[in-house]
Amino acid sequence: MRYALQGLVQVEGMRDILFVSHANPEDNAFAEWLALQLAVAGYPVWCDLTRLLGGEDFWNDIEVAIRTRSIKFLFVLSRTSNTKQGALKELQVAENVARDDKLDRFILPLAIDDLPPRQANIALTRLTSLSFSPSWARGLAQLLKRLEEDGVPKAPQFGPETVTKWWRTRFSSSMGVRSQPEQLVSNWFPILSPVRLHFHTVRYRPSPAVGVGPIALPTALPWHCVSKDPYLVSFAPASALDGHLGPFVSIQRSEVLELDEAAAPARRKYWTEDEERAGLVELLSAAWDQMVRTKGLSTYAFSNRGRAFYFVDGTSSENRVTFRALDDGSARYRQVVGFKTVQKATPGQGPRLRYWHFALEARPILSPSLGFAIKPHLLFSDDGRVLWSSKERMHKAGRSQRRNWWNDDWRDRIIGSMAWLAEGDEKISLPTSAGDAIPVSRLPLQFECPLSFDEDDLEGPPLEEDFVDTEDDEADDSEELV
Amino acid sequence: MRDRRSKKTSSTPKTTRPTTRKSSSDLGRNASAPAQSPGPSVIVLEEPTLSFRHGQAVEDPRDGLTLFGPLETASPYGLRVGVIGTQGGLALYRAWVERIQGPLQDAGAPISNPPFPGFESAFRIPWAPTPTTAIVITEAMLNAVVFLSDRHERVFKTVGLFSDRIIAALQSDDVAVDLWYVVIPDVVHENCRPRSTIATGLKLASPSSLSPSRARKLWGAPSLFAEDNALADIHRYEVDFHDQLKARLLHHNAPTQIVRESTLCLAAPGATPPPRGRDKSGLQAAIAWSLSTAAFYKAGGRPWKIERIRDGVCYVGLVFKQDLKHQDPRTACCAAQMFLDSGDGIVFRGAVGPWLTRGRSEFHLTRAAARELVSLAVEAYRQKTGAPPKELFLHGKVFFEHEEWSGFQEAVDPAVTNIVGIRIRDEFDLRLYRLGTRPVLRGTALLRHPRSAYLWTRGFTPRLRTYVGREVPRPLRVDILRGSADLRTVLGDILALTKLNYNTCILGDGLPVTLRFADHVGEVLTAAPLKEHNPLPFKLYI
Repeated sequence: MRYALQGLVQVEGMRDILFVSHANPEDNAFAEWLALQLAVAGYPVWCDLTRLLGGEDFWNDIEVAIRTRSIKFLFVLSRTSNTKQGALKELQVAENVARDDKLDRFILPLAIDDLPPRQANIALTRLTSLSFSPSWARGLAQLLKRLEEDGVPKAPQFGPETVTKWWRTRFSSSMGVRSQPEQLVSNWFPILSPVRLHFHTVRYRPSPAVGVGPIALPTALPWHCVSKDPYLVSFAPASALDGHLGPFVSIQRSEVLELDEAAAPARRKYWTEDEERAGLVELLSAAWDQMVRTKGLSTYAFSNRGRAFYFVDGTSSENRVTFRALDDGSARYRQVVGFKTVQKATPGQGPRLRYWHFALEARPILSPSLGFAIKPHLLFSDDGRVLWSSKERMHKAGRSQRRNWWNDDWRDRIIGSMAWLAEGDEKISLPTSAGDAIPVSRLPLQFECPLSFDEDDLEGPPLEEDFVDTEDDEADDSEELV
Repeated sequence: MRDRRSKKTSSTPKTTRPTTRKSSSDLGRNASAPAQSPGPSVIVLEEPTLSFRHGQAVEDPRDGLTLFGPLETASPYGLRVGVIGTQGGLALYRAWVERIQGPLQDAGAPISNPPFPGFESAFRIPWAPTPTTAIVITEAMLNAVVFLSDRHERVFKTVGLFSDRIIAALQSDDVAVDLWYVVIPDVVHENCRPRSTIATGLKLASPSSLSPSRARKLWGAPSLFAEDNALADIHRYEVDFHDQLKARLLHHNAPTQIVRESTLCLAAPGATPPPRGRDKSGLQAAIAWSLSTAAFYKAGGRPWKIERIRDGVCYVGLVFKQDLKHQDPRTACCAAQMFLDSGDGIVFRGAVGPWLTRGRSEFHLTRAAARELVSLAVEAYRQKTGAPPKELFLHGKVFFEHEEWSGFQEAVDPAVTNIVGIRIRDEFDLRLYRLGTRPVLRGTALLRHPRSAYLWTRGFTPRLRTYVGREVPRPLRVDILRGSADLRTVLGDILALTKLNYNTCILGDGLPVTLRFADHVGEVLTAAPLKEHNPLPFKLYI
């Protein structure tokens, strides 16, 4: 094994480094901290955990390092190192060096736990330990004082900057990050062709029953319209609404306008920009809902008035959605209905299952291009079909299940579900009138990110923000005050 | 845990950005679309670094404190802490401070969950387990108030049990305390919150309690009997122990750290998890980091600051809180929190007025009130640095009305100060997914156009080799609504401001400090009858 020394120019016979000996891995946290603190204080230090700390000098033999270069041998004394072979071997070398070269106060035991002094290794019994227990800081203060008293020299190559530089080679925001671009997949699904709005000017005939006054439109029109008196705005042409407006309302004329900047002044004759935003959201939501209804899918209403369609047991073949992966085009599939056994079978009673159902909520977006933001959800049932009625219970189960779902779990199910809705086509058709439809891409918008990172050496699940604030006394009773 | 094999990602990705037509924009009310709006593009901002002792800068505050210590120590002789609680609470406090003298390490990867080296090792000043002063609240005293049936009286008297004694101690000459540790039994936490109820068998009658409507009447037309008026006054206080205690101590310059007995107890190794609530026994290092940083900061220390900050810049977060105790439901309190390069901010309280806009649940100031509020901040900045700011960024959660913005502008000299209004909101609809298993990098931004972007303050963090959070990270939507500024600079500043939460000790928070505590500050401002007061340190509110 080769060891690094901190770039010091070795002077023949010069002892100038502090050698940190410890039980590896048990006492690593302390040893690394100590070595770095000594380096911050300006002392040349060597520890197997802080190799290359400021230097490129290599040792083939650790004994040589202790014998020829060490001015102090700092032995991290713990219940582990007191009996661990590796550490005791280094201690033995240091003891020989101290004896052969008649070095006074060469070995400094640093006691870091509750090992009684009388139980310390025989080589240390006549030496006074510096105590780092319970406080490392107090121990360090004593050690620095001792090094000063003993005239241990500092080196200009060592100091806070050395430590910062070394630290950044180990832990930094660039670790694992590559200057190689990668694709990011959004949950935005654009509409693929220009959308036209039909502005219908309606005429009311006085009703004998009501007389003069506002006449309500029928509540159920075959195609959704936004009412902006005296106009009806819709994706549907007049011919699709004729005969459905009741006996006292008729369409006098219609104007068809595209949603581009050129037609904006013309559209302002009918409604303001704010009204247009709200109206488009309403019309697109209605068109999406119409598509969901035509496919016979079930929907679930959230408390915030959002709606999501969800898969039930049997909606899709084998409760899966299949799709082509966006990176290599390979065929993939994902479950969209599944279950977890929450209670094992008992004599006379089968197991109790908790079914989960993947659900999609479509929220119209107007930029960067007209389309839908597809929001994924998880819903639950006992039988794979009838959802729980308790929103609170649903929320709690969702929180628990979502912990195990990562980036790719959501991404693939969204892409797979949209592919399933497209039924093998490149688009999902939202019917807007008989024979006409708005085509929504089955593929989301993608963006190129200039940087990527390597996942190969990553392990374990994402961390949870278990503990953030010291005081958190929200009115929400689910929150906890620390 | 199931196997998480990384999926192969394409080494030569193709840009599949479709050509986007110009459609109706969904720009904010104050924004104007650029004449030539380029398509959205993604950038990744560099992780901002923080400055510590010896002028050294690293990304994670735990690294900086462990390696170098804090930027500025509060007092070289150590924290002077006053503790108030039950005998049991005091014992738990002492035991916990004993425990943080030495190192603590939680289970799991030390890369993402750095060990705690001990308080003095991190902060370079001692924190003695024996408090400077200790005030004991007996069980009898506590039980006489914490079970009262009238919630207003219950919370007011329970808070008084603690705040009155702290105030009395402050007024005696022989107590010098930097920070008060308020160790509360869990029953206080459970019984003194807005929705708390007391079990029938435990209730203590409040014979002289008033109904809320009677109390309101007495506010307008005081009774001849002082006792009635005193009871009515109790209703002016928020039914929340935490906020009311902070509010009642606000003018006494007494920073507090409220901590539950169970937290100190459960942070102990081998502690029995509670029947309800989260088991914190595996979070000893994390709790030690957070409580220690908060204590150090509240006691007057500066743990760290942003390393590279432009000269002459200041950030102001706007705070609004509806005052439901007022006759006019539109009435709200407003405040501004000003931060420079550190999280050590100042809170300026503005005028109380009908700021709630009907039907929109948004708060907006009049021209005069807006001018007055920002003038306070600019004047404080001038006094602190000797000159007015060159750049003043106003962070809010909603748009700025024309009159309101005019008032803000009038508070600065346009020849000297560039004032910029920025709206920052959580974005709920957009997600970006990588082709691998991990989420996008923290610092990723999707630029919509030169005045608007989505910013991922939460995401995969290379320093930690993981993503701290649940599910897929949500971005913030950032819009430059008023004034002019470079969007990347604005985003970089916001990312840096997520690192100034001294109430914890983490690499980055989800929200910038300008907005992170806006609700907390608002709650404290309205938790007690409003009084005029000078600008106060931010640490008194959190």
